[in-house]
Amino acid sequence: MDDSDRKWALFWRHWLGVMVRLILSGLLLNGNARATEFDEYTVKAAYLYNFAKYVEWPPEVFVKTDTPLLICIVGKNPFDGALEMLAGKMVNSHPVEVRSVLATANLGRCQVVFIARTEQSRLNTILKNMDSQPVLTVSDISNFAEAGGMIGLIEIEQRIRFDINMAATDRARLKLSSQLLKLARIVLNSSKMN
Amino acid sequence: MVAPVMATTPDLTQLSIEELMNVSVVSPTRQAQRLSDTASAVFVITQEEIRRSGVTNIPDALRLAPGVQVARIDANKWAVSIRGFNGRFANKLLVLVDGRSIYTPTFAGVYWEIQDLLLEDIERIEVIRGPGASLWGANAVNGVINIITKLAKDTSDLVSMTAGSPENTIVGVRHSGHLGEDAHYRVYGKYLKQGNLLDEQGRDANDDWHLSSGGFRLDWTPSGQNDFSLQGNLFVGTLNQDLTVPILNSPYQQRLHDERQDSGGYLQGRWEHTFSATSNLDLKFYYQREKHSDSSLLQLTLDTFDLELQHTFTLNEHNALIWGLGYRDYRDRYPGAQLGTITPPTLNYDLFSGFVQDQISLIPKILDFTLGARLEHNDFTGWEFQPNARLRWTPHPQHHLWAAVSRAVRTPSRVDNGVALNALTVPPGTSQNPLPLPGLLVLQGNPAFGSEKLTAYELGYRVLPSERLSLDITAFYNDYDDLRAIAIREDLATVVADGYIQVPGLFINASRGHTYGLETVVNWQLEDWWRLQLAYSYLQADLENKPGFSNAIPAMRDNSLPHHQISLRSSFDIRHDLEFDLWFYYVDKLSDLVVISPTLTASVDGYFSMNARLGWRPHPDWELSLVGTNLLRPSHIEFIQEVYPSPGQIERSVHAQLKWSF
Repeated sequence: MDDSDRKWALFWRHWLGVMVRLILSGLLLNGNARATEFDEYTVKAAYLYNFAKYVEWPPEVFVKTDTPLLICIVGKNPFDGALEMLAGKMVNSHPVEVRSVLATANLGRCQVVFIARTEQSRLNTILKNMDSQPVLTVSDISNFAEAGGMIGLIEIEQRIRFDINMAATDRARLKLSSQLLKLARIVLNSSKMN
Repeated sequence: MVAPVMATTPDLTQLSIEELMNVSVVSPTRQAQRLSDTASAVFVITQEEIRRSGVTNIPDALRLAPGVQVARIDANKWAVSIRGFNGRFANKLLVLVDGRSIYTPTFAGVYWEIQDLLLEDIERIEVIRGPGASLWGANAVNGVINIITKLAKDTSDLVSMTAGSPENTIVGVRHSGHLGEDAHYRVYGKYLKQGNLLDEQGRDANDDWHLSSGGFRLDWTPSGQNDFSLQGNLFVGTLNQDLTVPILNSPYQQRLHDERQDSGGYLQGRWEHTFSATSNLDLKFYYQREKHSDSSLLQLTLDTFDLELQHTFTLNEHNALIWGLGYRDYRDRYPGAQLGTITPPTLNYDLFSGFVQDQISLIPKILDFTLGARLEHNDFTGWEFQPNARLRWTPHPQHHLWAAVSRAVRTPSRVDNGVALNALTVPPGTSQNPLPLPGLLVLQGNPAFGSEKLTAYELGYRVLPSERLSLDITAFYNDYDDLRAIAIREDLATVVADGYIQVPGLFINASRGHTYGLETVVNWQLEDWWRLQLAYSYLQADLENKPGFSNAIPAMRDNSLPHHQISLRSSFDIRHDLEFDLWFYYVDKLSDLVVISPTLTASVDGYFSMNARLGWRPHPDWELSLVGTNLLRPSHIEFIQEVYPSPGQIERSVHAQLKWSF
């Protein structure tokens, strides 16, 4: 197929789609609708980015308005490049940086820590080492929020949902927006935890 | 082909959390079974496709796969087959649910109506066209259908309600939870009630039915190396049907109302042990009971015990091996009914098998060769050997070519072996029966009936020109021998004191021939929010009776199958919470079905059908959908059952569904 053919094919595909969509949806158009199935970790990476937007860290965490927001991955990186794509994106004026770190490193430097499934057996130690530091912990290890983590990602019906442990976020002095709490599957409150 | 997974990483960070919650994901474990890598004609129906098709039962879900012939006979019966030989008692298909065979050895087919899973529990249905005998066992002649349910940890609490017209009520309730950190469970209950459809003349077909079932699944992973799972289910139901049965005085046939009480259940356990990343052991057992009490046709109680072991390991960089052993024990009881008996009325028979398959990598990632065989022993025909050889060539990452030669057998069923069924009265003084007494055709099983044999040749090509487009084409040539036919033994006719002539119709391996065809699927993801799928299958048969059996009634004739089938589906997302699906399909006419009726033939017109679904998710936990099926015509006939025909008209229908998962 030469170049002009391809352009025509793209043109028709695009306009055919646009036309059908217009007929069907009238003014309800929304460019973000998706029928595709996506890779699990591409979606989880997008969740991490969204979580960062809905969390307020204590003021001393960001020295300057453009201090980077550091997302750290503990354990074997399951994202296959999807998380690294977040690098350079902005979360309120803070550029995102992504790093793989060792479980034994000082995780207090990170603002978000994603704990991979490979660390399941060491989970308690990792969480204990970070206790009360203003770091948002996220993982897809099962029952993560119940085990003392902050946001546990779970897959239900081929869709990703999340649990929130507010006792843990309160201890770490992180403020989660009400929108996030509203959408969480389970919210474990301080009262329940104590 | 599997639903296309984006090959490059798209940027989803633009999406809000609500939108992300609506995105479906494929996990790497499922992705690991890359279909483009298999050297056979596989199609996977995903949970997402089932949901978006709006179907409410498994046979209708199978219409989503290319090359599968699905026809609804009446409200509670379906005919399902692959590559021809379709019928209510179609016998060349192996169907498994989580590895448990739901194929009944009574007639070597499937009672589709009692396979009453919660559709929401299904993770995927793998449809393998062509023989799968060496891996899956005897009777995987024309294909294998593998229904795989979700792990307990992947299901949530759910309430699902369906209501439609003609009456179609389905209520499903599911609860999931975990016991400690390593064990997850779900329990579910389901109630289904469907009303009468219409018969040929437009009257009530008296085929309403209801079924209640409940079950559980428990998955326990005490360590990374061991996975245990236990599943069980119990069901009970009542199914009504009208049968056209023979009588001995004019008009020599009558409509008989029949009520069938079905019950049963199963318990199934599995242990998977991982020795290392390249070695894995799988041990499975199940016990299954089914009981059909049907006053006129057949009564049956069947118990099945099954034990299977499978070991998968990589021997070295060139050889990936799977071997396994299986043992199955059947115990059945046929108390006898008005129209038929089975001899002997109780029997205990078993099946031993062993198989081995080696996937040999000739040029890594480019060329490999798979050689496999199964040796199986059954109590009817003794040893059966079913080998196959497959070659896969990937000249370019986007192009996959494969070829296969396999042998498979369909072993005799209890019906083939020992049934006696009053099938038809031939009126006196007709060309078929010039005598003054009516002739009663009694179908008779034959202890000498042997296996039906198939040698299949397949060729396949898959191409993925872009991450949004895929094309899959398979061509096959099936060479059959010793196919079942019914020999009318006028020489053995006897005059019975009641004043009729009893003519035996003996099951005999008297037919042979070949079928060939082409199956193709195109998947096109036009936009992230719009997907099209086009499937077309072409099917031909050329069958004959063997010399000396020219009068025998074959199981299938050249025009008993739909030569053309077309399906076009569109999955369209109007907004992130609003889905619109359209599905057109065409099934060619069946101009010469084999039916045990005075003319021995019947025909069904070809039909176009259209289904539409509108789905709305006002909240990630809620889904409301409205589905219309067979919208183009008020009603149509899809199939005529091979014995006691009483065709039902499949009506236009509408149903609404509400799902709440939490």
